[in-house]
Amino acid sequence: MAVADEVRHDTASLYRFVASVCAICDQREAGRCYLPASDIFLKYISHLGKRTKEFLEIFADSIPTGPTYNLHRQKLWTLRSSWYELHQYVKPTTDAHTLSLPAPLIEGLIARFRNLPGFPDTRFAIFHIEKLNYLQVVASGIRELAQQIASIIPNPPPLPPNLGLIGIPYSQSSSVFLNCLIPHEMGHFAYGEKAVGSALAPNISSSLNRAFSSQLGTLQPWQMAWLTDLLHSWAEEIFCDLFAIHLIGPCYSYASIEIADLTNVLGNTSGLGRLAASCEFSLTHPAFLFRIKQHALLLKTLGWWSEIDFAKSHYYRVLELSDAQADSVFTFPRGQSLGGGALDAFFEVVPMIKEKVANTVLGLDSGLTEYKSLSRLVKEYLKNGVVPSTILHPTDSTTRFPNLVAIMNSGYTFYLESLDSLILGIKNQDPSSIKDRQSWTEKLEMWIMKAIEDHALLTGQKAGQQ
Amino acid sequence: MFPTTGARSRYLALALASRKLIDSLLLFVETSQQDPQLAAALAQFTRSVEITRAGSNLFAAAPGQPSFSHYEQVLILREAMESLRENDRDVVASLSGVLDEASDIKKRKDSANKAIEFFYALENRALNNYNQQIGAREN
Repeated sequence: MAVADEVRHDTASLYRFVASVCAICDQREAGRCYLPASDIFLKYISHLGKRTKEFLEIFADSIPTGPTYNLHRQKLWTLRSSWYELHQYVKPTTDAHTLSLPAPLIEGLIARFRNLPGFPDTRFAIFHIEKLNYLQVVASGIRELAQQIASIIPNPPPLPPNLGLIGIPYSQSSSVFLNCLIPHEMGHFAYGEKAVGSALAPNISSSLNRAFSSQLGTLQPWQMAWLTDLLHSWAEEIFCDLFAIHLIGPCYSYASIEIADLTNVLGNTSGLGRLAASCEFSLTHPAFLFRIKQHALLLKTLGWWSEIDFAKSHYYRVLELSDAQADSVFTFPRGQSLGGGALDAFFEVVPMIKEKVANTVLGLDSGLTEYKSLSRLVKEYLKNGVVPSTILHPTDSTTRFPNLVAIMNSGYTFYLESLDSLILGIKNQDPSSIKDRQSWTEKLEMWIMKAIEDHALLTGQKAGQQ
Repeated sequence: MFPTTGARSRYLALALASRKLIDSLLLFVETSQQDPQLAAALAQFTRSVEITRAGSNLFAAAPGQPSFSHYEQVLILREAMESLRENDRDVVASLSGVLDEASDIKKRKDSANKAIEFFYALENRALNNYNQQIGAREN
């Protein structure tokens, strides 16, 4: 086969792949509705695909077959790889229609996110992921990828501004409690948009220079790059955790404890090394207990700590236990000989991370006052199986519509402290039955979700109208 | 050391940036036209190549992203230079030679051809690593 025919074949193959991705964007199943941002994202990918196909239609005939052939031919590989990258988000986004999402919760969180300085128009497209993990596709990364693809094809469409993407586990569409982790993913978006990583870079490099001052002559450039990346990665995770607590309150900590099964660190037996694994930093994340310790410190600062009755749930005891850990208990075995220095440098950066979070959420009401005012009543409604959308306040007989933070935190604490009281009030239901507990937890989550949805309606929020 | 979860996108970013430069440099060699963004893009790579130098003995703050200073990118830059059997000073000289307006056009085009060879190798390695990540079975 002549070189010209080979490249024509390869170009057509890539054209077909791009067309197949565009078809998924364009041919969504009838009757499915999407969050507006998901629609925008899918349309953008389709448009970018159209421009890529137009470029490919003329590419094969424009490529020289002489000595520079390979230089030109490799562009097809780069384009194909770029489309592989985009491809992974398309089907999960089309799967995430509004009936398969905790839409009221997401819309409520977006509304709250928009109260932050600099984010009045932010939109989040949602996609489903297979892992039981929550994932924010770093929006600045997608934007950079889109811009870079745009730089090698003619007439690219502009990427819609203020667009973030969040992945949630496909199975958790009706869950309220685990979806309290979504604000952490919104934190990744804020981190990228506010260029927090760049702002922290001087602090990180100074701390590393101090921690490794005796080894600076012997460290290889790639080791230095690795350490720098590591600290940036840890810093971003702590930023996002603290951001989430500012946005939604302690229910974020409870969900973190639940998803990582951190109550496993509690127990009566000493000497089993229960804590050791939870105190280890990984290649991407700080140790679980270190993260929860930072949660505890922020909950104290924000005033939530005094609202927690530590005797009432073992989740709270994890918070207490983490709070009691000194920095010296945390380890980073996978860092090998560089692990100790990396931790020392990171601990020095943590106060700066807190400062960046505080700047990002400046002016945001923590929601604590409303929680204090309505929590007891919300729990009372839930105990009686009533959706706590409209509450008659006994002190002044006014009608109140609890906001997102009050509903979420009251609901989660009710789940942790008082599920038994709900079940005991129902005929033929047994609080010691795992099945009954599961069943009533599911109902509890439905009531909480309905209350969140009602709040938006009752207060005239326009969160869904992005 | 180990790759992190962002490795895949960093490989792809490096490949795309290399491709953009290959396109711009080919245009320069073939038509003597200089893409207005060429100088900034070459300067960015020059900074990145300098980061790979063993002589650097300080952790540098890198606020101006992207400068291709991530772990995976530093390794690929190093490998690309080694594959061409050039040291980093030769690469930096080629990159700056393209923009040297005091030099005659033939010398500048010679530098551009060397730079193209470097970016081709870089793009190739970055794509290879990216595709290995795509095909890797997740544990």
